Amino acid sequence: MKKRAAITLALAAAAALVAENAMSADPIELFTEMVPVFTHDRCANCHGGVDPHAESGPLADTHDGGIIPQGGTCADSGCHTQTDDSNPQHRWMTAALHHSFGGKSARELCDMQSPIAQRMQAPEDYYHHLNSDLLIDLAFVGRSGGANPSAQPSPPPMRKDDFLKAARAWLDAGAGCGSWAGTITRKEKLGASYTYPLAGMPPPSSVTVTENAERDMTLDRRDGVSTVNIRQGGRSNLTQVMHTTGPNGPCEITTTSMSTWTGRDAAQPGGVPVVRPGPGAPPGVVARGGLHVQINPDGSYVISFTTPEERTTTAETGHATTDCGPCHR
Amino acid sequence: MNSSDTTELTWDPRHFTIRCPSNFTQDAAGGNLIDCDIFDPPRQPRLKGTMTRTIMNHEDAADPQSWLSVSPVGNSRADDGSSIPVVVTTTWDFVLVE
Repeated sequence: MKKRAAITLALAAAAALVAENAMSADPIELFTEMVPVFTHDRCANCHGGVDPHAESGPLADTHDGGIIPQGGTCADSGCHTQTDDSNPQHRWMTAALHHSFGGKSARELCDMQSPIAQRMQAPEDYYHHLNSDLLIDLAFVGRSGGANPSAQPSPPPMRKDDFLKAARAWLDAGAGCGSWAGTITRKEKLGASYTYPLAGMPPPSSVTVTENAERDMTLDRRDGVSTVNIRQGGRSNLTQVMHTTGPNGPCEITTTSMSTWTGRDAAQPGGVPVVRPGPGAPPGVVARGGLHVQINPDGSYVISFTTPEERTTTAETGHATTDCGPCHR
Repeated sequence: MNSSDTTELTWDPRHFTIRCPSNFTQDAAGGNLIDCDIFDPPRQPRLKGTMTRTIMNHEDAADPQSWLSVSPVGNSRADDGSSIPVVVTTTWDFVLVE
């Protein structure tokens, strides 16, 4: 008797809206790493927060050293003595108004600096400015534009080498202000069918195994939110045929065990139901995980993502038939 | 004679990685291929590629590459215990949206 296992693939649809976590690395998020420095007094004061020449207006009396006449320098009056007015690269000065940092959001600051970083002959110029500008160096040790007051101003809330690492990551990612949008599709397949002799039983006793499984995952990312859709399922079928001798002579005992499973995402404790991704799909949940993009200086990159928690249901059935006649005890 | 049983299992979130290296030796015989361009904003400002992997067992890579290799389905043969390969095909395509 020849048995043929009917192989069907049970697929269950599952979907989940995956909330981005802190690992997500859109260019705007890479830039945002640097923002606490840009908006700190050590940077923001000279970038639009203080006007030492203003005698009226919103920036009047914002300079601790008093009003400085137009064209005058603080070094002449014994302030900002750690700068070098004879060297244009090291001269104490405030930034141009269009480089003002004050009161700007991360996005506004990024929109300001991205064209500069991309316009320069190479991102290295931007990096060189951050790394080599004397006023920036002084700011990181808590010096106000090179001033040497008795009261020590606080430095930015990030060490300079960490700040430079953040800048490097942003520049390597293209120095943009956007976010990644796109898809990942991941198809997994497993299949096997084989027969082997049944140990301890006379030929042609045998075991036939057929297994088949598939898992399709799609991650779709738009506006910083990833939606994961998973379809998966599988079946295994094991048929054991024993040839033996019964009361009426040679006979056959056939046992079949079948395992069928389907899977879907599992609701997270406290998860928030989200819209169904399509007709027939079960409700998803807000789950842990998200998408992380890391771009290295040589352009190689790593995309990593975390899929939602999943739950599988496996149904196992067994069946035995024989033509050996009734069992007698 | 018939029997039946049902089992439910919960699986922790899985973390997967896609790597587009600057250099990669293709392994067509082993079923391991990558086709992608490195990120180059002026020339190739997108992340796009295809990766095919044949997982012979779930410990053959530093990162897990297959969910099926640890799923309810058997991933080793019942007769000799050898691994049943899982073929994983991953495609990706991302662009920066300002």
